[in-house]
Amino acid sequence: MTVAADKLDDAGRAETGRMVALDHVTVQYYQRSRVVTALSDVSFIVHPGQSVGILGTKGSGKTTLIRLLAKLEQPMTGRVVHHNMTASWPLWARTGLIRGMTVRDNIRFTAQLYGRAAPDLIRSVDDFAGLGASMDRLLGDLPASTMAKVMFSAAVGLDFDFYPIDGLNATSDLEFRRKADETLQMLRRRAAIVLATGRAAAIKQYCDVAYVLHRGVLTHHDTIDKAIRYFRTCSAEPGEEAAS
Amino acid sequence: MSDVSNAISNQLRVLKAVTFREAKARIGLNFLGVWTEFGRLSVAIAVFSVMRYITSKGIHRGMEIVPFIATGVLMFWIFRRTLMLVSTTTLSAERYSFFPQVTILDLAISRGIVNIVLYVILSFVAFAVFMIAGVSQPIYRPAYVAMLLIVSGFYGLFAGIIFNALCTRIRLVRPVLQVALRILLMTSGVFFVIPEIPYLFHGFALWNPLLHLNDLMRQEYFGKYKAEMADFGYAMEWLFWLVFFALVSERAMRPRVERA
Repeated sequence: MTVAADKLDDAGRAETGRMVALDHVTVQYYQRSRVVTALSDVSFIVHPGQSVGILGTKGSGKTTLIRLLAKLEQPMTGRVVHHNMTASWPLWARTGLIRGMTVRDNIRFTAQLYGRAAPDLIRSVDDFAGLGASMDRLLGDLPASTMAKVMFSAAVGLDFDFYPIDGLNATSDLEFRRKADETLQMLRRRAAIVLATGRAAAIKQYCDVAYVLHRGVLTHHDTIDKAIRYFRTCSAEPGEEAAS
Repeated sequence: MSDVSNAISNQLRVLKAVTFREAKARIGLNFLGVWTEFGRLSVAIAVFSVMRYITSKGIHRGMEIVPFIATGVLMFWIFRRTLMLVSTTTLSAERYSFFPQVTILDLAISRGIVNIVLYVILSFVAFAVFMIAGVSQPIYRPAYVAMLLIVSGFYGLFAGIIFNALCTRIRLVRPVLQVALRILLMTSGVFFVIPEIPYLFHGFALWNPLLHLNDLMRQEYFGKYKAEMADFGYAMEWLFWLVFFALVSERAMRPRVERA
């Protein structure tokens, strides 16, 4: 069933005064001379401290959903509400910084943009990602996964209230992945997260609530196990491909 | 803190951050961007000065020929480069897509500020080099010279915002703009002062505010030339209307520009 958000204002604001919500959101793309519906009348609310899992196969609309929650896209119809909660960019993003600038300058820009002390954020990212001398090298000269590490570390260092996550583990650096796993568990306690993935195990590990996104339609399930069962049914349909 | 002061401080914070990023991107590694710009200006000033020297003399109406050409070139280049950079803002906006608080207007203003500051610095470096080399007297009123350069830069900034909006809607605008800039180069007093224009054409020539700025520039740089036909009020009137139309066109085209 799709969760109705008709009483969005009452539900969210009256209870805590803080929330992130999608309210009857529809997104369509024009692709190869036909209209593709990425999200169809999607509604749900995320409260502070809640960890929401979105299970979806490849092409189910997960990335669009996460981009909407990160305010990187606008819906065609419906609305995305961020009420008294600051939202991060998608964790593990591999874009967003300038490759022609040093890592240090990229972090300095991000700190200035969010009104934080640049030296503190630089130190925090350096400690987390362990970049050392690479901090003063051009981002474009470093491995592609460095951008994902910097974006992850900076987002954590900026203490947002809400973190949208599109898939997990964009790096093969085992030490960084271990730290990132620990950090996600820590984030679950202090912030709200929405994790969109095709891996049922990740949803079990990090989330309290689970939805299944299938062909642009979001359905809520009472338990994570029920969501996983429904997701497996959807994945078994002809033409479906498992997401990473 | 009230909502208004909060909004202003947020806006200033975003502008500061984007200006920092644009400055870093513009200057580049090892100041390569600054050297490129300096080289480009030096070539233009040298070529035009030699041409002018060959066709007339080393002194033009009591003004040394190298600073005479340099003031005109710098005044026009600060306008042209700012306009060209700002008018392509939409094409660079993708780099900021992960930061939704950065708008096209923030990016346009930041690019303009970076270019204006860079050109004012380069201009005064060039003027200092001329003085050291003995081809120019000291600047008569440096603060006025700086102000006129900044006004010319603001022309470029606000005209650039208008053209950024127009170019998103009408593709033909960009080649037309290139032609218009070439005509402006020839008619803005880069190579001459207003009294040299045949009286018959004064009515047409004097509508161009850059011509007024260039004449005033020569007055403030040399001190011995009087820009009797130039009107600073007229130049500021143009600036006022450019700001007005820039803000209107930016607001009107914002949804389309953001989708582009």
